[in-house]
Amino acid sequence: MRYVLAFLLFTTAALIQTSFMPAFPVFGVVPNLVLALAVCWTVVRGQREAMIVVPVAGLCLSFAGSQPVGVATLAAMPVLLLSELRVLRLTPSDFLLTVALVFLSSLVYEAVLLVALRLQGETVGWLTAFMRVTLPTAIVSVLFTPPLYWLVWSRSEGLRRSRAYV
Amino acid sequence: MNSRLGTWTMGVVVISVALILLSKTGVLDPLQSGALSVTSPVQHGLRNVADPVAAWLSDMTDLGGLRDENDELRTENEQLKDEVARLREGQVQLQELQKLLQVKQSYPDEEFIAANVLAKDPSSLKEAVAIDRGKRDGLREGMVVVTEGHSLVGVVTRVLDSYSWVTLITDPNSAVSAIVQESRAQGVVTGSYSRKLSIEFVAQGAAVKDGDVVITSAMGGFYPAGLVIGKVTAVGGTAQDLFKKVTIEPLASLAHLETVLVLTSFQPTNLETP
Repeated sequence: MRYVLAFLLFTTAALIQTSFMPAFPVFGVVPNLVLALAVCWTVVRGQREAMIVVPVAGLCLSFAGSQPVGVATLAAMPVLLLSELRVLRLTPSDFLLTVALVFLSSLVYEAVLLVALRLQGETVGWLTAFMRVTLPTAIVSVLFTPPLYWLVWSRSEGLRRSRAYV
Repeated sequence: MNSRLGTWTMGVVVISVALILLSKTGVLDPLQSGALSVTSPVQHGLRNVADPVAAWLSDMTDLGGLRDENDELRTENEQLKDEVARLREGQVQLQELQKLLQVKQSYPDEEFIAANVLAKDPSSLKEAVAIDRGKRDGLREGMVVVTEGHSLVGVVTRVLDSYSWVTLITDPNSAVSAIVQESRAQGVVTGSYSRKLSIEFVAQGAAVKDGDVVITSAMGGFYPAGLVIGKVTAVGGTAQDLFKKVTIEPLASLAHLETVLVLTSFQPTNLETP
């Protein structure tokens, strides 16, 4: 059931990202809501669920975009690897870690997309793309993280309780 | 990193690469088309909500700018009315001359298919929009897309069964052969990551100024001649530069596209291949 809910949430996020948010660009870019949601899910609900949910998020982005299916899934996979940082407990709260991971994941996601575009024969201006798109998208995605984090956190009360008893 | 996570990640990476390769062959196109088909009513709804809100917000934050724009538009309207009158007069004279010389009209009848814009690519690295027309409607890659006012929007770059992706002229990889209408200076209009258009390779000696209209040229065979791209907003560079730095503003409101026309009667020809 939780994965069905995840699928519906990610599909909704993808639709908002592609149909609603383009009307309200911030710094000329649109936040990557799907990726930010995947990071929130990973930090709040743990790596086990993330192993299913992150590829689902990537597929939702794939089906919503103009790139070949699989490119966005590939670009989203570093979220899983970055989730290992949670184990190290580098930040005092999960929220701060989420913010840091959304920023990092967004940078990596856009970088993988740029490589994919280059491999498909498109001309890529690496530095310009970083300054004009990759960095602003990472910052804007971070700005949209609090409500997404709250959404996942508030729906995970049972999970938090069960962890507290362990 | 635990080995289970490593193995799982590798597995998903391998599947993703396989999906990319399959997608390149077109096998997954029906799936992508199906996904767009299922979600299109919601996307329509979201766009219908977003556009008026965005327009309202824009109006609220730019009242002073709107007044200035209104004044500019009034002046422009007067100039255009005057120009239309003179062009009508010119057309009458042209028709009379054509009759006299028995010249045959060489322009083919233009045929369009109207399409609704559904969504924008989720990544800001690509300036592409999805439209609700595809192979079934006769669309093919390379077809030119314009607004209802016939100004250039972009080109169809990916065609699915019932949907297509149109790469906008503001995309960093877009390049359109163009001509400045007033001075006849030639160049190539390119997009950028900042969504701004510029016209490259304009000779230093060309007389290009603010407000000049930039239209497509038939050079290269990818676009029909005469479609309006935009207006010159800035001309820069030094006398030592080989080419002028010309910035242009697209005439079409590319950020708020709702309905577009796909030009089906124009067949792009790649003149690079002999």
